[in-house]
Amino acid sequence: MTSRRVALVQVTSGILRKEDLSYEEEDLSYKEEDLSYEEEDLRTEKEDLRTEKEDLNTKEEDLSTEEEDLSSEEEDLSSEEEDLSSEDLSTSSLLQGDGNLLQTEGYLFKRNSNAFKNYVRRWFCIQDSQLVYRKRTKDTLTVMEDDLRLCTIRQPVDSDRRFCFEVLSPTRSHILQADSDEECQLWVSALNASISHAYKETMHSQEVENKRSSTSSKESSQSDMLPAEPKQSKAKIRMEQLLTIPGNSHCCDCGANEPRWASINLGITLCIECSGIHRGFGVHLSKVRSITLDTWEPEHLKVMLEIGNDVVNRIYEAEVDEAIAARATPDCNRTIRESWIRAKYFQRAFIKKLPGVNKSNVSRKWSVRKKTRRSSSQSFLKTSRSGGELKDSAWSRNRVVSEDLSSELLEGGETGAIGAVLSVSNATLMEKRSFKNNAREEQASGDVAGIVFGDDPPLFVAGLNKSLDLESSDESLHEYDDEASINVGVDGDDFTTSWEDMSKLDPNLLLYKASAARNLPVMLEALANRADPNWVNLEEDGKTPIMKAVQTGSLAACEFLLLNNAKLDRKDKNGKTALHHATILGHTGQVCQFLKRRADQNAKDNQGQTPLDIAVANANADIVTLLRLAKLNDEMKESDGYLGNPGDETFQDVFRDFTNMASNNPEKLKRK
Amino acid sequence: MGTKDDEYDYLFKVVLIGDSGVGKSNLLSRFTRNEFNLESKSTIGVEFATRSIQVDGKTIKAQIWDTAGQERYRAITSAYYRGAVGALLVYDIAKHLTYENVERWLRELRDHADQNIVIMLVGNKSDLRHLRAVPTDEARNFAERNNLSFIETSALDSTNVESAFHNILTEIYKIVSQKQIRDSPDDDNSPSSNVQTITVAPTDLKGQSKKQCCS
Repeated sequence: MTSRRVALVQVTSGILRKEDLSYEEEDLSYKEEDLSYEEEDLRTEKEDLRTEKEDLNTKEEDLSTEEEDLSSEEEDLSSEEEDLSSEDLSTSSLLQGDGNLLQTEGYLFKRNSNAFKNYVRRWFCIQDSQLVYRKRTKDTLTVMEDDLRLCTIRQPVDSDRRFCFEVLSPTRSHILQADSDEECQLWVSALNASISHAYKETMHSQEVENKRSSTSSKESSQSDMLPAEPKQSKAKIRMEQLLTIPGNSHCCDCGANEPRWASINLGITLCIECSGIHRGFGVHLSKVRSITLDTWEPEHLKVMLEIGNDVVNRIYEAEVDEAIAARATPDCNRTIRESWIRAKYFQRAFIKKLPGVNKSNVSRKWSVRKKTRRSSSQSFLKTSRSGGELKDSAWSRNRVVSEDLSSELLEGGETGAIGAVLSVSNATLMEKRSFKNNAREEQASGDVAGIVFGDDPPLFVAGLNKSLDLESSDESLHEYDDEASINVGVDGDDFTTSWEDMSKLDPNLLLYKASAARNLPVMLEALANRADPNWVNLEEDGKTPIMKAVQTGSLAACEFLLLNNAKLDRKDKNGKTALHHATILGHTGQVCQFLKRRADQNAKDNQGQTPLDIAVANANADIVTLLRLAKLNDEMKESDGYLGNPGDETFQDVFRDFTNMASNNPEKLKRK
Repeated sequence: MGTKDDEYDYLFKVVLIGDSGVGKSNLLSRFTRNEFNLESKSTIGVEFATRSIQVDGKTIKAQIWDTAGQERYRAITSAYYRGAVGALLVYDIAKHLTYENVERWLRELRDHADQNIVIMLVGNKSDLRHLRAVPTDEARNFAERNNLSFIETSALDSTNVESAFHNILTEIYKIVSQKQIRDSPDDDNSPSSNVQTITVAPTDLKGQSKKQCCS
């Protein structure tokens, strides 16, 4: 009977893997079991001690003594406590933060949402407006709530235990239990203080720095218990990554230094004032995130890394007319800022229209440069072409950098290449080119001369026997290392999409082609020209841009379209959705991406097949699992409501795993 | 899929594991739909089914995860076991190798599942008497040594299928419900039973203070 009881207590200890439990600890827990029966009696005594300690803490603070002294006091206290409970350390370890309780940490019991609804003890910590916890020192922090501003702290409605409080977020509820009433109060006030502090902070642009300095002293004294804060370091890495993208070190709209905000569907960084204006226009136009404070989906970062302020301004500020709106500056007032941003993005007053058909270019064609992941070097949106015309100079968006390329190109051209892609950088160069290309055009075969949208820099010419062969010294062209991608032979040659007549150059087809080429800058350009993200290409089985993006395997291209209002419920002529296509191609990362976006997995194609039917037929275990899990999750939600069902948690775990794998280690997803 | 019995008191996740071809999927279909298919194909990835049963006047909904036995059809995720409170570890009484591999499956459970998961060893295909390769006693002894429950079933002729699921769900229910009874009065048992969570620093503090005490 006794052994039975022990077993039961082990069950209550919750989800702890056996591997985590050393024999030593196991022995301890048995000993604990015996001890705990006496504990109830001793509790009162212990609580007195706590009060005493609390007083001491206050006194300490008044005297503004060092942390060390405080903790040595605590040691004394905890030594007394030890007689009561050898392992109940949560009291001594619940360290009060500085004045405004920015950093509070200690042990709490967390009620599991699994069937046992048992409580497990975790080390909790409030930091950076987040509530995080971990099981053991070595473990990584788990974020329970990533933005406390969205949470409410309250007395639980149905708590089976004492000293509980509830953290209520928009989607979840967590029941947490402290060891005593005082601690419960302390946590509640600390959480509330942290919430109001987070609100205040968002009003100041220097929030992160302030917080760092205010907590740094505390951290140093506990550095052995608290490893580096993952969120801040993550945010820091994110920041560094984003700021290396050309133009991103200054606000895209007013040029202010150190932008800390981003619009993820435009792919730009913003200062806080401009981000406020963007927010005001609504999420359908601009989706604003804090670089430092928000939690980012890996896909969103990927999108950001593909675009950047320089690229965007070459499109949205191609032909600035200050008669329409005065340019915003870092110090300008809100009215100027707002009208500038409105004109720039929402009226699109400064963009350059796509070149139309005219007699000089009627014979030419266009295509889109296929793009792989942005290399670490700068890459520019560039228009390249042969047979340049001065009046097309709007396409010359390159910086002077490309001058070198262009002169090389001239040489290359003289070697007798049949076709060439020219990098346009300024009028002078274009004249040279136009001279050269005129010559070339005469010998050009039908598919040769044309505009290539979105070239990466070191490319051009030298096509020996190939029309417009984009010679590339850039090895990264063939590296699909960032995506769960398979270089599907999209139409066209290895480097560009198929060639289209100039008469067919319109924003919709440009977006479609750019999606097939996973070329986000060109996609952005097409969207700026008001391409419909859900345009249907009747000439190609009624596919939409996102279906083409699926073929490239690029998470970034798909996410970019989704961020810009592409819909997942569209079907092509064969009744297949983007999810069907991703399943057929075995692109696990995208299946995961679409299911997270709530793609309908019950959609049937014209053969009556759902994505699951296809995945089963293809014996793709990962995709089958993702699809079935998403289905289960939906069913559980229907029957269960949203809160507290275990399917939901597993679903989130699995999808997070797959998302991270698809973003960071796509090779793991390729199993054949 | 029991949409009618949406009302339940407990929801338990139970996983079916074991070698390929031992009859996991048929056990599941027999239990949840009373179906059996001699020619069923290999499971790919994972399949789910639910069924509710009554225990002690309470409705228990079992969410059963049927996983692929074959390595190449298993998805890369440890979520198979996440949140699972029970596992049916199935072998084929007519194929000794599937019984030998039980140890391997136990190891996998140990690595990935909750340490408190309730495990039942299930010798399936008991209808194949003439082909028996694993003696019942041997398996029962093994189960006892490893603290597993044990049963022999036949998904084909339905023998013990109901009992197998019923037994494991009851066992889980007992643990969960007894734990709940114990829960409120013994508030402080849980703190002390969770010694695993103790971090290094507090232990040091304690160590030091101990010395101070003694000296």
